[in-house]
Amino acid sequence: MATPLRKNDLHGTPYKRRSIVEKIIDELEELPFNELIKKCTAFERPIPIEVLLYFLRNKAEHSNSPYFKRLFEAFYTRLELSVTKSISEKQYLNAHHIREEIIGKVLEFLVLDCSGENLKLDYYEVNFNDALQKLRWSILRKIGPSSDKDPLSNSVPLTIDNADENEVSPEVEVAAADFFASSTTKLDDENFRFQLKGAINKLPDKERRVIGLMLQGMQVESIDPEVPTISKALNCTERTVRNRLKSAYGKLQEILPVEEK
Amino acid sequence: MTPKFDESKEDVLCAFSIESVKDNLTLNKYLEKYPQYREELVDLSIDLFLSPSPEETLEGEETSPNAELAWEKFQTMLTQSVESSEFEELPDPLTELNKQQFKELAKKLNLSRLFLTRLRDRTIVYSSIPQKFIKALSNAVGVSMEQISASLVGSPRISVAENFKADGKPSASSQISFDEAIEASNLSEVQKVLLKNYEN
Repeated sequence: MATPLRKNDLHGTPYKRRSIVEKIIDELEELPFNELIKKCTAFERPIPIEVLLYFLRNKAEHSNSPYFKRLFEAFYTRLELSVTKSISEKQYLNAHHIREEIIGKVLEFLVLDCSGENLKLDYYEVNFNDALQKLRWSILRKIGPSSDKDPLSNSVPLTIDNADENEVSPEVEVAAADFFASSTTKLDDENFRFQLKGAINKLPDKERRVIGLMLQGMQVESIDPEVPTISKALNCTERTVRNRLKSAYGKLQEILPVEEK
Repeated sequence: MTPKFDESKEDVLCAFSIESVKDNLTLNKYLEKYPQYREELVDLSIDLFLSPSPEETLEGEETSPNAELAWEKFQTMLTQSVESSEFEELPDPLTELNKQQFKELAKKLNLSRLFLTRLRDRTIVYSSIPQKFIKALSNAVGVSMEQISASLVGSPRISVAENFKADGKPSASSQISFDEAIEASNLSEVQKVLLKNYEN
């Protein structure tokens, strides 16, 4: 039986690994350590990285064994591959440095985990790639230009915002909605997504957030109080959302190609 | 005994990131429960939406040439961690400041924000910073001198990490001395004198 995770979710229930991960762990735990490692490190039949992480966390008593080293190297290779894909040199000027930061942090978590001081890797066992994406985001926020900690950036706190209370014409709102709807349908295209993300990141934070939520399909307003809306999410008036939308739309139109109707 | 859900910002954001469905309803649920992390949750949701996890393609992969070095580093870290908790994820007192706190700190120390930014981004050579100033900074931030020193020492932080090569210019920040920073940080004459006094 796989050792249960100890972190709890929002409801106070311990996190669970994906059932396929649990199943593979249970099967492999029946094997002698060297056989287990051979299965884990066979690149021709890769198993989920969460399984490798599980055994790194739970077989630390073998840390002086050459088999444990093989396990570590297989895990490291997969981690490096994933980070390299996520932080491309095409997109980031300092890709190499950012990758090192991310990988270094994961290794730190592993060290802390081995000494029993930290349970953060529980998140990584639930969904390694998503947890890694969160770490990537945190590190980019800390060392990148989009950091809201950067006093030279245009970040503003999200408070009730009564600025820019001018009326937005319905035509602009409809055009903007069409524009973003068409953008959403093209998000599977990696080049377009890259271009769109770059354009959005150039917007002021308050406009970027409106656009980001709209792209995720959130409505500006709704008569149904149960429906999530951008104004509720950002704690500002609907008019403010529309004004930000209008302003962002104008800027994005200059950067991104708009399809002819 | 299993601990309860930790409501720290880091844990809330991690919990959101590994939700199997990260749609508007999920985001809304987190925003209602943790309004204090509103900006971070919204920003994270946007980033995860626009940067989905890359799919793994491993066929034919071989062990990374960097893996051996990583293993050695990992072993060293394991050994060191037994002796100290230096790898604990301690918050960096300067990078953790939000915009308002950053402005207030600059005001408290009578510095320009550019000077404080240089300190935060480690573009001032650590050995050139007077100990008296480090002491004043640690007092103003409310942390130990060791913690502030750890924040100030090291390679320059990336000032422009994410940019398009086509329209961005690389800015591998080089370090300057404390004196040079005094002259090149939009400081008033009074502020310059105050800073130079730390050197005596």
